[in-house]
Amino acid sequence: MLNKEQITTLLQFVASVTPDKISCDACLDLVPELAESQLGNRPLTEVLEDVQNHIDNCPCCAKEYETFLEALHAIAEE
Amino acid sequence: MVESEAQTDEWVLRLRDTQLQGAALQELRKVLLRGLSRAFNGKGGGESFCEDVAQDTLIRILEKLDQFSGRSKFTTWAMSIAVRIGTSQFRRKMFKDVSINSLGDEENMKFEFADEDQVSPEDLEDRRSIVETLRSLIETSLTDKQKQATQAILGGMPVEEIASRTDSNRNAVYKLIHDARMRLKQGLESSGYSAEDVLSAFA
Repeated sequence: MLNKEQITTLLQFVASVTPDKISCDACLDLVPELAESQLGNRPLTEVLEDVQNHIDNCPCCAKEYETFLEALHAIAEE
Repeated sequence: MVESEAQTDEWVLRLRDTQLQGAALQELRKVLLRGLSRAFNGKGGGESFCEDVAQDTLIRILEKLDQFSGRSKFTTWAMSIAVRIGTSQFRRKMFKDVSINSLGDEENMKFEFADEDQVSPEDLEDRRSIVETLRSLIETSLTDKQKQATQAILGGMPVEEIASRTDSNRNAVYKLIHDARMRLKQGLESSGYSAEDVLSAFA
């Protein structure tokens, strides 16, 4: 049984979706380039914008990307 | 540590050279462990978990070295592989005892709508109407597989875990769920509820 909080999550999950051109695998192959562009404050290419759009749509890739950025910050500090 | 292009090339050369490979792997292992520890320690992935992931990553990197295109720094690419392996193993560990059926049975998809917020009767009526439209769209527009996968992801199960339990793959399950979301969104819009209406009604 979905309670109000879960219904709200479902509605947000539905309302926030946008068309997505790429798959999870394609996204994860390109996250090194996306991260370097974002951390270097460089404008995103069209392909990297598609990767960012996929991350905005896919909660699993979004969490994985967040974890990746944490790891990159750690190795950059050395 | 900011890696230059020359350092990126050097990593690849050293890993391909049988005489230099051992030292390069040891050095790379330290880099990976630093990143993995930061990324997974706070989430419950301890030292031995990170050690295992680093080891698996080094093997994978040697297998995939020819696929490194140089479009990013070598350590960034290596770290992305480590995080992918670590995330996958971590998710498998977290969800090993969770059945997809426990997240995706018919009972779970029923709606219990007891609004406790202090909202006006008009806003409450809007919410009820949106939820009823959504419930009806789920029943009429989604396939059984889409219902099950959508429920499972709402229950917190990652896409790759849904895939492993349904003899599918991450890309296919993501597409299944994405198509379901698009269909529900379009259905809501056809019923007069834009994304903004929905988000503001439940803000």
